[in-house]
Amino acid sequence: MIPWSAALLAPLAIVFGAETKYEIHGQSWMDYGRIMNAEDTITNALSPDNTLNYNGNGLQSLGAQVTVKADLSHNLEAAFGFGAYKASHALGSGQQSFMTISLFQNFVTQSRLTWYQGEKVAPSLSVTVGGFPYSYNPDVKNLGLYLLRGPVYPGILMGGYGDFATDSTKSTMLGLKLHHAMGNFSHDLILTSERDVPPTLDWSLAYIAKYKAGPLQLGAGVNFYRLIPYNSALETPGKDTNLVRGDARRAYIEIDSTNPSAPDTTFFTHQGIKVVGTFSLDLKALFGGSESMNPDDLKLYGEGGVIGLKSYGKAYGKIAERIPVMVGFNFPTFGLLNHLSLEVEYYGAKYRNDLALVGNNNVVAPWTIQDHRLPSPKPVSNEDYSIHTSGYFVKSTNDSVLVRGTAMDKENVTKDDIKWSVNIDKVIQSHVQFLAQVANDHFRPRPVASGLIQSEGGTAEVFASPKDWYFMLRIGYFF
Amino acid sequence: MKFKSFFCLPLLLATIPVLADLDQLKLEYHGAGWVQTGRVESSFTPPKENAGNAYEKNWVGQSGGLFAIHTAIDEHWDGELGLGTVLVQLARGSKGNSNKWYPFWVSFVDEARITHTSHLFSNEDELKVNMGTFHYGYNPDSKNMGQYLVHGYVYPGTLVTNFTGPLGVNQAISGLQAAYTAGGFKNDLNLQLETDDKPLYDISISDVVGWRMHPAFEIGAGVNFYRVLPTNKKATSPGRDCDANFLGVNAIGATDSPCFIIEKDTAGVPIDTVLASLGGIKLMGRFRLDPKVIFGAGGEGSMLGADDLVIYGEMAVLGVKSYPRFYDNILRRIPVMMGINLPGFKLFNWSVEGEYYATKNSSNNLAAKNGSPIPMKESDAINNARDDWKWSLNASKVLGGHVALMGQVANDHLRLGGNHDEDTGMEAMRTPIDWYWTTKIAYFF
Repeated sequence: MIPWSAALLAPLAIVFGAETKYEIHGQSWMDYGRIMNAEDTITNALSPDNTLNYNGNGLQSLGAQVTVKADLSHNLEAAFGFGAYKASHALGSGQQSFMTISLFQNFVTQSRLTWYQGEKVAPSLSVTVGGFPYSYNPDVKNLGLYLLRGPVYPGILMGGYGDFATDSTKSTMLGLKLHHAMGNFSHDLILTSERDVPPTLDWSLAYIAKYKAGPLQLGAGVNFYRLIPYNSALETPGKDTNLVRGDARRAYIEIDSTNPSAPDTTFFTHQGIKVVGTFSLDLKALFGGSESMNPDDLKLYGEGGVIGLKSYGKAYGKIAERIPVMVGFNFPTFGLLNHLSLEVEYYGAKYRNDLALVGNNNVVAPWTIQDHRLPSPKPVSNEDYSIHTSGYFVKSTNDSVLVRGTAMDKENVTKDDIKWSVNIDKVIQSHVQFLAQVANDHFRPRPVASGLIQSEGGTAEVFASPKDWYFMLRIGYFF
Repeated sequence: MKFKSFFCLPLLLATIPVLADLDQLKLEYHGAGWVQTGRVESSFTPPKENAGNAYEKNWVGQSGGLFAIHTAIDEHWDGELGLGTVLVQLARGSKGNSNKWYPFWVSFVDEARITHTSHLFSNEDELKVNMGTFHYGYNPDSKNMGQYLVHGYVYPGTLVTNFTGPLGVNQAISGLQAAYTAGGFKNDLNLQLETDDKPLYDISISDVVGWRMHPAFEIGAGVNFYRVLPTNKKATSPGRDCDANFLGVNAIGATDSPCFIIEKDTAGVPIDTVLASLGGIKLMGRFRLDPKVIFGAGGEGSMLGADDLVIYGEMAVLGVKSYPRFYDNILRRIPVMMGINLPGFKLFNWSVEGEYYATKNSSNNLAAKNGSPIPMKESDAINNARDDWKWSLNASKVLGGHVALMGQVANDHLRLGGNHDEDTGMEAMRTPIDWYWTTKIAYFF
C-alpha cells in the first residue's frame, strides 16, 4: 500500500502543478499501564496450567507515525502515512511471562484520495476512497461507536485503550465514503471492507445522518453489516455440510429438540443490521457559556444501538440483550485539563465478550500457532471452555471452581454488563500530550506466549467483573 | 515495511515544493540507510549438547533504514520520533542447522520522546527532562565496551557489547530522565523501564554524575538500583516458595537449582539454601584524559583530530551484595575497561578497547532471561577463565558529511541468540583466540 500511495502522489503533484502543498504530520508516544484486577482466569488453553491470569500484568508500548497530506488542487486532496507500534504478549503468570515476545507492528495511518465540492474544511459534498479514519461520534473517548466497531452476531463490543477507532489520525475504514452537508444537516454513506474480524474482505454499507440545532446534535445510523460477502457460504457456515461436518456443526447451528420428531435448526449468520442513535448536548449554552472553560467542557453525550435487528435462536432471542447504551460527560476543568471525561455503558448480552469462535486472535508474532476454526457467528459457550454443565471448571490441579454466576461464566454473564471509563488528557503548547485512562472496558490483552511458537488467549476482553480495572498512561507529542 | 519503501518517503520529501511549517514548528528530518556484513572467524565450538550453536565461520549481517523527525515545539519543548526497519538474518549455527534460514524484516520505533528544557538555578545551567524512549549513554567515548551501569543483568553479572545502533548511536532506553548540566558538571537521574531483559517492566533507578574538572580530564560515577521496583516480586526475586516450573523453561539450565543458591561444603555436600535476586545495586566509575590539552598539541592548527589520543576507562561493581558460592568475591564482580583513540590525523577515527572481567560464572544469560539469578551450568569442557580478557578495535570514517564507513574487529560479548531450534544466551567469543570482524557502510542525513 505504501509504495502505491507514494507513487500516486508524486505524478499527481506533477500533473496538478508546482503549487501542490504538502503538510507533514507526525506523532510519537510511549504508554505504560497495568491490569490491577481481572477476575476471569478461565481459558480453554492447551497449557498445562489451563488458566490465564492477567492480574498485575504490566502493559507497555511505544509507537510513532508519519502522515503526509497533499493539497493537489483546490478540490482534491490525498494523504498517506504509516507507523509502527510495539505489541507484546501479555505477561500472564509464571512461566508464560518469560516467553513473552515483543514485536513492532506496522499500520497505515491513511491512504486516501478525497474530492471536495466547496471548502475543504466544510465541504457540501466530498468523496473519499482508500483507507481513512472515520468517527461519527467524535466525543467518544473509549466506549461507544457501536455502528462501525465489532461484529453483529455475536454482538461483541470492541474497544479499550489504544483502539484505533477513537484515534482520528489512524485509518479504520477501507473503501468509499460519500459526505454531504446542507446547513445543519449532514450525512455519510460508507462502503467499507472488513479487515479486522473474520471472515474478512466482506463489504458493509453504512449510513449516518446528523443534525445540529444549537447546543444539541442528534445522529442516527444504520449499518448493513457484511451486505456483500466475499464468500456467501462463509456467512452462514452451518448450512454447508461440506464446510462443517459432524459434531463441529454445533458451533454454527442450534437445534431445538422440543419436538423430537421435528427438531428446529437455527443457522447462525455473520450478516446483520445494526442501528444507532447518538446525541451530544453542550450544557454550557444552558448556563450562558463560559470563557474559562474548554470548548468540550460540560458536554453530555451518548449513544445507543441495536446490534442485530433480527432475533433468532436462544443466543440472540431477546433484542433487549442486544442494546448497548453509553453516556458520557466532560467535566469542567477550567483550563487545567483538555478533557476530564467519564463514560458509562450498559450492555445486557449474556454471553462472554469473546471472539474465540470468530477468530482475530490479536496475535503478536505472525508465526505463533493458534487453533483457528472457521469463523462462527455463535457466541462462546461454557462447553468451549470445558466448563461442566454443573457450572464447575476443573483446573489442572484438579481443584474445582464454581463458574456459574461469577465473572468466569461464559453463558450467563451479568457481572460485565456495566462498563466505565475515566479519561484525562492534557495538551501542552498544542503539541505535547499527556493522557491517562482508568477503566473497566472492552480491553482485550494480547495472547500469552505458551511456547516458542504457541500462544493462547487474546480473544476475550479481560474485564468481566465490577471489581476489574486497569490504568494506562501516555506521554507523547504530535504535529 | 519494505526497505524500498523507506527510500520512497525521503525521495518524496526531497521534491516538496512548499513545506508548511505547522504553527511555526521547526521540523528537522534525518534518515539513514545501511548495510552491515561480517564474519565470525574463530569461535569456541560448544560441547555436543549445544552443538547447534557453533558459530565458527558464520557470516553475520543486516541492512536497514531509519527515518527520524526532530520537532522544536518552542524554546522549552522538543520531540523526536524515529521509524526504521531492518532485515534480520538468524545466525546459521552449525552446518546441521544452516538449512533453516529465513531472513525477515523487522520494523522498529527508534525513538519516541519529548523533552522539556529549562534552567534550574541560573541561566548558565540546563535541566532536560526526557520522557518516552530515547537514546542514552553516559560514556561518550565508549565504542563497544563499557556502559556497564545501564546494560546487562546484575545477578548473574553478564556483560553486553554492541550496544550502539546503526551509526554508533546509543541504544534507547524507556522511561524518564532528568539530565542536569552546569558548566563541567552533569548529572543524569534515570527511571528506566525494563523492556528488553525479562522479567519485563521492572523499574530501575540510576544516577550518573560526570565532572569535567579540567579541559583535559573528566571523571564520572554512578549507581543503579537495578529492578528496585519489580512488576512481579516473585519473578524478580524468587522466594522460598519458588517453583522451578514458575520460571521460564530455560531456567532449568541454572546450576543445581534455578530458584536458590545451593551452598555446598568442601566435600560438595549441600549445606544451605540461599535466596538470591535478579535485582541489585550496580556502581560505576569512569575517567577521560586528553593529553593533547596538557601538552598543547590539540587545537585548530593541529594535525591531530579532536578525539585523538584520548584515553578513557570505566569500571563497575555488578552487585554490591555478596551471595555465597557464585557471588562471594566482589573482585570477581568488577569489570574494568580501558580504551584509547589512536591518532588518525583527521583522516579517520580508530580506537582500541580492552576489558578485564574475572568472573568464573558462565557468561550465558539464558537462565537470567528465564527468571533465574543463578548462573548457567556449563559443561566441564568450558573453561570460564579463558574469557576474562576482551578487546575491540574500531575504525570509522565519514565522507562528505553523509557517508559513513565503519569497521570493527573484536573478541567481545557478542551473542548471536541461538539458532532456529535452540535459544541460547551464550557468547560467541569464549577463548582468547576467538574473534570476528564486521563492516558497515551507511548513508545518513
